[in-house]
Amino acid sequence: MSDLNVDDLPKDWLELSRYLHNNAHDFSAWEQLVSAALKLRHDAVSSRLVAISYENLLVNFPYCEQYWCNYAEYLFHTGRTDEAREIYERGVEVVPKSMVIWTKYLDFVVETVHQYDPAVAVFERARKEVGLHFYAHLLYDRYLQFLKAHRRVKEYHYLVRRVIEVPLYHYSKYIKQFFKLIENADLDTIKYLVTKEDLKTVYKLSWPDLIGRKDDRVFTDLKKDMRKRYMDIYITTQYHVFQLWPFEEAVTRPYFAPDELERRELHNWNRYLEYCETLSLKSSHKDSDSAITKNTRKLIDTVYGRCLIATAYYPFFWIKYSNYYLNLNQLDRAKKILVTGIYHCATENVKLRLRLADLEVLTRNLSAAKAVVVDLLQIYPNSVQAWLKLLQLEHLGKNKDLLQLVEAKLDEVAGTEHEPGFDYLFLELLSYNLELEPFLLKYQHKSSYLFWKACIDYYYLHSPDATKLQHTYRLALEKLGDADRARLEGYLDGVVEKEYF
Amino acid sequence: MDLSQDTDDLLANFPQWAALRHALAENNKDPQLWGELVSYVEGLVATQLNTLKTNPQLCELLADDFRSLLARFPYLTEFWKRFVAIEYSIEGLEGSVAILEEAVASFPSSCELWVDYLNVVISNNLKDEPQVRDLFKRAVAHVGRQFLSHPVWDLYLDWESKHAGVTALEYVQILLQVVQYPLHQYARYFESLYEITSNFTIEDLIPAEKLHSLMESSYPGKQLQDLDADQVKDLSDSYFNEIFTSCYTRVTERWEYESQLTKQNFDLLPVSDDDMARWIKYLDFEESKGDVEQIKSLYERALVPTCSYETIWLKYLRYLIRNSQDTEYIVSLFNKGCDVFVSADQPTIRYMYAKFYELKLEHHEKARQIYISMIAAHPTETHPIARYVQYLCGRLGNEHTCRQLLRLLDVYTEKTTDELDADFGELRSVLNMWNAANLVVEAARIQWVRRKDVRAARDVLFAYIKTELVRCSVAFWTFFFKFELAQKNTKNLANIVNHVKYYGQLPTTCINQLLDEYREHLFRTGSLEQLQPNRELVRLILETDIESSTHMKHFLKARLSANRDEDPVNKRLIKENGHPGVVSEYRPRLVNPIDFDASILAQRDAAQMPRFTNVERATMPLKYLQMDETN
Repeated sequence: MSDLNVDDLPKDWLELSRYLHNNAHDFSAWEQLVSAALKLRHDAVSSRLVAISYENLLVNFPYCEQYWCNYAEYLFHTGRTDEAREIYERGVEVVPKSMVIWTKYLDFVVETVHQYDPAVAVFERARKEVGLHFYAHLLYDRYLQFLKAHRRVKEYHYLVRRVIEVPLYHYSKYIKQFFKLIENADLDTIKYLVTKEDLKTVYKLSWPDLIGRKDDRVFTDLKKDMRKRYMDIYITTQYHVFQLWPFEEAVTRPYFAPDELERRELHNWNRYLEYCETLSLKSSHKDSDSAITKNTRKLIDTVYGRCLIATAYYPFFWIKYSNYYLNLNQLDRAKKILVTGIYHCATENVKLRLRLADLEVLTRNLSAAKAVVVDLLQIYPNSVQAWLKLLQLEHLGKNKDLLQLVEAKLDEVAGTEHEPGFDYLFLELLSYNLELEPFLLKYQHKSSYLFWKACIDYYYLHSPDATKLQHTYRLALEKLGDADRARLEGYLDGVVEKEYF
Repeated sequence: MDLSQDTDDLLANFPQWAALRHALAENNKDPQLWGELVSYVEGLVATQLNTLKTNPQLCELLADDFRSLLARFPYLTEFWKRFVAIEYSIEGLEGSVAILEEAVASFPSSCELWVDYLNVVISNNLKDEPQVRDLFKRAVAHVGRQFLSHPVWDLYLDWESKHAGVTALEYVQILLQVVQYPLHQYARYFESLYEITSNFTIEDLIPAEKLHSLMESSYPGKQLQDLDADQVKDLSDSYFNEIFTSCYTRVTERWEYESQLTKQNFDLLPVSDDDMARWIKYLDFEESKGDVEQIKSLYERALVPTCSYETIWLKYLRYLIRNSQDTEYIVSLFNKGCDVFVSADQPTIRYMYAKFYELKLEHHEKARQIYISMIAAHPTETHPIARYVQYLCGRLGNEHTCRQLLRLLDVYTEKTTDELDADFGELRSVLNMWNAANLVVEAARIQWVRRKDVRAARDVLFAYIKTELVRCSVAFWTFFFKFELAQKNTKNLANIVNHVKYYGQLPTTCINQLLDEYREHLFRTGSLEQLQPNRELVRLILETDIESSTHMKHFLKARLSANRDEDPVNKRLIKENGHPGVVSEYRPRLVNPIDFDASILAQRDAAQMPRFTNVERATMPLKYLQMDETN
């Protein structure tokens, strides 16, 4: 903003942006900021402000599909077509499974790109990303229309043939189209519907047999039989559509919004994902290079991508997605998903980060793992969980001064509200191969159950010593409160000497 | 509550009565339902007294219901009173007095019930003078020290004034007794006493010993008869002033606590922590004052509202065990607490009872009975057995106990037919498939933490690892795991985890907890080289995440299948996909789909003819798993 003069900026926009500086999670304020910028009289300053508003909104809420489109459209309408394309490109990179952005992008491409090759390349990319989306008719209608306009008969045939295999909301529309293609097939187009090999093995025919017999029975019989055979694809696709429909029907908010989703909705996504994942359990999916495996995995990715647009604030689904790739033994993919998840779940991401650290360890990336935990500790400096992980990592890194590290932390939290929680570290240290006695002796002034339990366990279970146990027990009873004393007495009942009455 | 067909027949004309009884059988702690039942019966008494009077079976049923309630909850004063009133209407005076006698016997610390009882006895002249006097003495012995016991004292004084007269020694002795106690109305009794002291000699008013010491201090070397009337009066005044001052201080001190007590009566509702704390504070204060009878009286009072909680029972018993030699009373109190008031889910008082027999009375048979009954009452819990074994170790020594436990296990598993002594024979009689494995744990625990013999402990545990006995024992596997965790023995931990995750018949949450702890252990004690991205570690992560889909839980799937093979479970998941419990075996499927990622632009030829499986069976009916079972 350095070249913008603060005095030139409209007051309400400036106020909002100041407010947002400290309240970046207030979605409606962001929306107000954008609309405040759009309301300004068009000039160089205002177009900068619009860009700043959109860019910052999208940094904070990258899954807001519509705002990517709005931003691109704004640029397009102000004559900045290249920039608009760039925004669409960024949009589909950030939210690759967004049908909203893709369709808008394709409309934009049709309007601005007049050569066939570059335009069809975008259609193909869209097909690969969202072609298995349950509502992909939005894509296919545009694609087919485009091919028709460019008189690409072959590709048109190929595309319809592929679409009929996909379980779509509008599946029957494409089947009908395909039957029509068979119906209207002539000597040229029949080649796009059946291969030479199939013609030979299934019908005992070859291309020359068909030449000049367009209106004759051979040709009609062929078409009739093909229609019969393709009826089965209709049944199969329909079956799968019916399977997906209960899940699809239950999705009431397929888009991103900053408020919470109903439990029922979350549950539905979870069941939907498990349904798709279970499809890939078939023994025919053992070969990960086969088309059947690849297509199913693509469907799973598509459903995850769609689910996460709506559930981006729920670490549950990020972990689930990451676990899906862990199960496929693709640790790098799993890590990438966690990183994205951490970005989206700005506050509730402890488990995501701890898991990421674990995966970094498993891929022998100790320094990366440490970086993850140190990051976490910067957000939650007093998270005991994060500290336990840090201890693990330091120990893995053969840090000799583990106890000094703990000591420093304990000193830091001494006397604060976090002290009781961090006393858990004493118990945790028992699990490490460390010489703890002098360390424990330093803290005998403590009065928390966790600390004394650690001391007792040390002499009781880890490094048994009856005299010291008895001594520690006496000390602990002096230091502990009534309830904790009763707990400890119960714990060591019959082990140490004590007065009963 | 008797719900037999006979009673239903009996109540055929009283459907509401029958319905209430059935509702109460479901929930016999609902004060509202009991209230409704009693109100209903009261209504019957008011409107259909003759029907009731002519049908003794109905009356018996009614009385039985009351008795069953009041036997379970003897402190429900209101229900006692309503029972008395109903019995009076039906059976007349004699019946109702009998109930009142029962009431003061079951609830002797109730001032209210005593007053009712005494009133009935006096107004109907049911007993002769010495009997009534005895009854009053019993009443004040039980409730006379209660802060608000003045109704009983007033009744007593009133009665005695009419019988012996206010100038009689019997009358003044009551007053002399009552002024000793810190009561709410103490001032009134002092006034009454001052009014009549002139009627009595100083010997009547002051106990001889006390009088003697007073003489010693005020008029050393003199005899009572040497003093003139003024001197005698001074002596008596200073004596009573001292009592008054002390009583005044004691009442003021107690008022601070008494005024805060919000819950003094028993009802079927929970006692709040605040109420409990107030009683405990008051009791602590009273204990610090050291007046044994006063302390006992306050405990008896406190144990009315809080009788269902072991807290104050424990406190009282501990106090008595420390300060009283009256073991018979202590035992009776233990029995009352354990048998009537404290519910079975509060075991501490029972264990304290056992310890009392063991340590104070050295009556081992009784102690054993209590331990064994605890095991029998909680057949699936680990703690009762652990407590009993602790007790045995203390008495018989660690080594002997451990050996005998293992012998007992051999008998239990029918390896031998040795005779067992009473200590172990009775334990044998309460063993079952849930708790038998705890004996292995206890034997190992003795070796480990008492005898410090890690190797012997491990031997005990290993000996049973593959037996039927421990297969579904959470206690065994968690103990074994914790044991090796404390030893930091990664190899054995791995063995345990391997066994549990494939063969363990434990709850999934329990297995997953072990897996989690094992994974943490590996991360804490392993080196980076050992933590290779091996399938095993990844599976451990997948297994315990709530986020994981079912099919990622490989160990769970293996456990569900007979030969640890995931395939059958996968097949079942596929068949039931989308509809757990509903099998659709034949789902139509395209066998040769086109690779979706292959570019259309690069496609040279038409696609292959599609091939399918199960298309013709797409419309076959589904199979419901439950239907299979009933067929």
